[in-house]
Amino acid sequence: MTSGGHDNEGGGTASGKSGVERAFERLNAMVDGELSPAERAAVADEIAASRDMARAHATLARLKATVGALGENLDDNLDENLGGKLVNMALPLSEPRPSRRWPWMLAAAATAAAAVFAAVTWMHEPAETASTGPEQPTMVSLPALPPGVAVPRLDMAGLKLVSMTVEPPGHTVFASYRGPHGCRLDLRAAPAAAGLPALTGTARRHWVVGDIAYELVAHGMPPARFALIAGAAEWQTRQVLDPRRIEQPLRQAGLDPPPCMG
Amino acid sequence: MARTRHDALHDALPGLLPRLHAFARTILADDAGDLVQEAATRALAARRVPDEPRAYRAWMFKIVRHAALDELRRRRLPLAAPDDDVDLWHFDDVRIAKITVEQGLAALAAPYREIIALIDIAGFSYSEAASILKIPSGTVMSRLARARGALLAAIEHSRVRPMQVRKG
Repeated sequence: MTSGGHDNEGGGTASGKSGVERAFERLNAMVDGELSPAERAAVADEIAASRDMARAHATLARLKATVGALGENLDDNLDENLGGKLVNMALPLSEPRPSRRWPWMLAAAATAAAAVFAAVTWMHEPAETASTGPEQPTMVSLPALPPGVAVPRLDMAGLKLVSMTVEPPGHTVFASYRGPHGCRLDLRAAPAAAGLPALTGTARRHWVVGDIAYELVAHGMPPARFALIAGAAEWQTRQVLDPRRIEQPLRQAGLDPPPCMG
Repeated sequence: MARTRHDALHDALPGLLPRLHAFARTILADDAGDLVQEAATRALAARRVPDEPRAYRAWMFKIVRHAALDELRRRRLPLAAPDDDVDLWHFDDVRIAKITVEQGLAALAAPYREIIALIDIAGFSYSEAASILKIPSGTVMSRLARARGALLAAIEHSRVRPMQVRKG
């Protein structure tokens, strides 16, 4: 995509645009990484030479980042009944079903229901977190979760919560996180008294908060990175919302993440 | 039962849901959850599914978009007039915050909200967005610039002033 020869919406032509419009379009394309190398260099020169251009470029970059964050940290006031409905969808589907006619659809629907549920949980963040910035890590906390259970957010490290199920008996919570390089983490939160066997993975961290035993396992993640993430996860579940213990380790873990193996 | 290629593609659906929801919300705020659920149901029931992940992703956004536009037409919602009365070169960046951006997006005309959501929330390139919207790539570029100008104007005219929060 280049800035030359494009259509002008509304029936006009590119040549009918003002210089200001063309400059603003080029700045937008610059921010979006849509310019050719030559155009990019030319716009960079303009930015270096003009304080107004530099300022507008910074404005667009900030606008783009803020809009983009809307898709990462949803805080809509979603109807709580919807969350409950999706929990109910996820629970029975996690049990064996006698039907064999549509097995793949059931499995897919279960996955989708759990994932929609997970997405819904992102929208239940307290309203006051909205003004603290789009990257503020916030624990998932729902009335539908068993009492005392908190599911940490690991987005700052590039790991998205992709599914969550609540399984009786004992109301064990399973959550899965995925990263862009194949990294995978699984979290289990269960009553400590249940004494569940350890999960398998290439790295593991276990801790207890109150009556809840947490276990976080990685699959192929480098140990140093896992240690940063697991520590931040633990502090979140302990509700110690200290940026030095949560934000900084997660950001560090998210910097140039090496691909996970396996 | 052996897993099919389509099953593998559908595995990507959970990861798409947050951005599908955010995209749907920019078009139709109050029913975004229902739209995404409907789209996911349609996708899982579809007989023909795009063969590769990027095409599958674009296909899912198209399904959500069509569902949202159908609903907009059904409701006959009026489209807000774009307002670009703002000095783009001296904008006070402090005003750009999540809450003002959300409110600003809600005030834009649907085509403007849509193009911003496709590029900034969904992360599509101009050419991918052009394919989804069935318009030339150059039109994506000019529409996006106008849309962002309108969004900045909406933020400028908003009565909401972001509060500066000190972390730590």
